[in-house]
Amino acid sequence: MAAVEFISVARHYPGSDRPAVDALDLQVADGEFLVLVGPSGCGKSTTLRMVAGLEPVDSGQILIGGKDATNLAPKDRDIAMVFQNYALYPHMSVADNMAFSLKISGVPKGERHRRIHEAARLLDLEPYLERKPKALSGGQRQRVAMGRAVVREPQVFLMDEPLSNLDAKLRVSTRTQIASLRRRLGVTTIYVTHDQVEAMTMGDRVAVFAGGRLCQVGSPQELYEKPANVFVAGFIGSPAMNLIPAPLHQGNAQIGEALIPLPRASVQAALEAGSTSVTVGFRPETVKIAGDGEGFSATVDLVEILGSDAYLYATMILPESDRSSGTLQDTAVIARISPRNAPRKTEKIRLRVNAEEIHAFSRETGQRLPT
Amino acid sequence: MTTTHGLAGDATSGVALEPAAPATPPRMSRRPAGHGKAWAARLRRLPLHAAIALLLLSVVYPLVWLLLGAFKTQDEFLNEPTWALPKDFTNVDNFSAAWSSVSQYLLNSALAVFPSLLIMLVIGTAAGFALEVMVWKGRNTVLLTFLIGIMVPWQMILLPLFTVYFQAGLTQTLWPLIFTYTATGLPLTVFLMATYFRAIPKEIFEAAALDGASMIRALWSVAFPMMKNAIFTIALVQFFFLWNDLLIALTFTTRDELRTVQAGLLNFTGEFGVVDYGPTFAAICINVLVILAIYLFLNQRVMRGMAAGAVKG
Repeated sequence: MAAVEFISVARHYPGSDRPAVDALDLQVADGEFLVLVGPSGCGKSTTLRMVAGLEPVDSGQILIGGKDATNLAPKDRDIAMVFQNYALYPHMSVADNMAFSLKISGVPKGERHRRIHEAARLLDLEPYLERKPKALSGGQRQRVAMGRAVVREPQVFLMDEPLSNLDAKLRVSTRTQIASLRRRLGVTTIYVTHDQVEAMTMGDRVAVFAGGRLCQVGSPQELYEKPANVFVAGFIGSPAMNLIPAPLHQGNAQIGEALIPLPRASVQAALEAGSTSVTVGFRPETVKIAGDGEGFSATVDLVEILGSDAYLYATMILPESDRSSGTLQDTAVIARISPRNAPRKTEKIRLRVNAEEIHAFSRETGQRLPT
Repeated sequence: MTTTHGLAGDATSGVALEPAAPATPPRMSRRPAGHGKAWAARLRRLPLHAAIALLLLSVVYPLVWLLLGAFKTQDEFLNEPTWALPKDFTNVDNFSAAWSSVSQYLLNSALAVFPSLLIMLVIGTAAGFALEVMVWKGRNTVLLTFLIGIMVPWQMILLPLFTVYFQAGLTQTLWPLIFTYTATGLPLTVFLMATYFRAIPKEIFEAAALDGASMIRALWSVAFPMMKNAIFTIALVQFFFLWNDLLIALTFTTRDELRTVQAGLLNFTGEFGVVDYGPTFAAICINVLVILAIYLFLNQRVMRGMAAGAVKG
C-alpha cells in the first residue's frame, strides 16, 4: 500500500488548445478510496492514466509510495488497473487472465494457484475459472477484471469507470461489492466515474474535476454542504442545486419578491469585488411551500411523483419592476416536496427558503463567498 | 423457398408415406391451392435457375474437360471429339509421367512459397502491431509508405531486381523468389494486419503493459493468439497469389530444377512447340488438387476470420 501524490501535474494533448489536466496538486493517503468525478472531457481519466503510466506527464511529478514514478514504465509502478471495457484477454480462460501478470513476474506455480483461488473465492468466480471471457456475463467479466487486479496485490488500485457498462441493478450491487472488497483489502484506490451517486456513496474523499482543473476535493458530505464553487454546487446532488442570480439590496439577496439576508462577510466580499449581485444556491430539499405573504411566488410547470418524494418544477414569477427593467429573467426552481397534497400544474404557489440554507457565490468568479 | 420445400415434402408423403398422411391433415387440405402457386413460383425462378446453371456449366466444363483430358492419350485427344470420354479411366500413364517432373516443381513451389508466407506473416503482424498498437511519431507516414508499396506494379521492378540478384550471385537458388514474394506480399499484409489491429480495443494492450508484459511478450502472448484467424485469412489469400505466380517465377528461375509448378507447367510443351496434352493436363490436375486440399484445410478458419469483428465478442 502506498500514498499517491500529484505535484503540479499537467498534460497537454498535441493539437488541443487547452491542457487536458492543468497544474494538478492532490494527495491520496495510504489506504484511501479517492473518487475522481466530473463531466466527460474534464481530465479525470487522463489523471488516472498518468498514474498508470499510460499517458506521459508533460510537467510536474507523480509520487507513488514516496518515490518519483513520473517516468517509470507502467509495470514498474506496482499498480493494477480495471478498465471500463474490462480489457480481458479473449483467448485466455479466466484463470489464465488472472495468472498472466503473475507468470510474467515469475511467481511460482503454487503461489499463483493460491492467489487465483483466493481472488476467485472473494469474487464468486470459482465455477468460472476455466471459462473464456466470451462465455461470461457483463457482471462476471467485470469481476474477472477486478480479480486480475486483486491477484497482483498491488500498492494502488486504479479503476476507470468500471461500472458504466453494467445495467442499473447490477451496478448497485457491484458498487457495494467493490466498496466492501476495498475495505477488506485496504489498498489505496483511485476510482474514476462520471456518476455522482457512485462518487458520493463509494469515496472516502471525492475530487471534482472540470475543464482539466481540480475544483474541490473533500468528503462527500463536505462537497454537498460546502461546495467551493458554482460548478461543484451544480454537479453534486440530484436533482441539482437551484442556482439563481440575485441582486443585493442592503445586505439581502433578492429572490423573486423575497429578500433573504446574507452573511455580512459574503455581502462585503461581493461589494469589495465591485459586484451588485451574487449567485445564490439552495438545495431542492430546502425549498418549502409557504403561506401567503411569505417567500416568493412561482407557477408550477410539472410535478414528478416518485412515491416517497415529489419533485416540483416551477418558474419564479418576477416583480413587475424587475421584469420591465430586465434586471432579472425568468428562473426555474426545483423543490423536493411531500407527494401528498402536491400542487397541480399551472397552479400559482409561494415558496420559501431559510436564510441559513442559502449558499452565496460570486457572480464573476463563481467561487463561494466567505460566510 | 419454404413453400416449395413444404409442398415437395407433401408430394412424397402423399405417395410413399400414405399411412402418415392423416397425421397431417391441415397440410393435405392446403395442397390443391398451394400446388398451382408452387408451379408459378418455380416458373418465376426459372430465369434465375437457368442463369445459375449456365454459370455453373461455364465453371465446371473446363474442369471436367481438364480431368477427362488427363486420362486421354495424345492420339485420343487430337483425333477424338472434344466430348468423348477417355477409352480407359485406369490409364494413369499421364499422371505418372507428369508426377516425375511435377514433384520437383511442387517441392520448389513449396520451398519458395511457404518460407515467404511465414516471413511475410511474422513481419506483417509485427509491423501491424507496431503501426497500430505502439505509439510513436511518424507511424502514419510509415503506414502510408507501405500503402504506396501496394500501388507499385511489380512487373516494372523485375529487371532491376534480376540484375541485383544476379550480381549478388543468387540466381542459381530459390532465394530470389523468396525475397521477391515476401516483398511484394508485405504491403497488403501490413495494411490488412494494421486494419485488424485497429479493431482490437487498445485497453487490452494497455492491460498487458500494466501486467508487466514487454512489447515482444504482448505481441507473442496477446496479439498473435488474438489475430490467429486474421493471420489464417491473410495466409490463404497470399498463398494463392504466390502459388499461382508465373511471372516472378519465370523471371528468376534460370534452371529447370528450380522451376515452380506454374513455370514448370510451361515445360510440358515439347521441343518443337507441340503440347503434350495428356501429361500437361495431369500436371495441372495435380496442382489443382494440392491447392484444393490446402484450401479445404484452411477454409474453416478463413470463414471465422472473415466474420471476426462482425459481432461483439
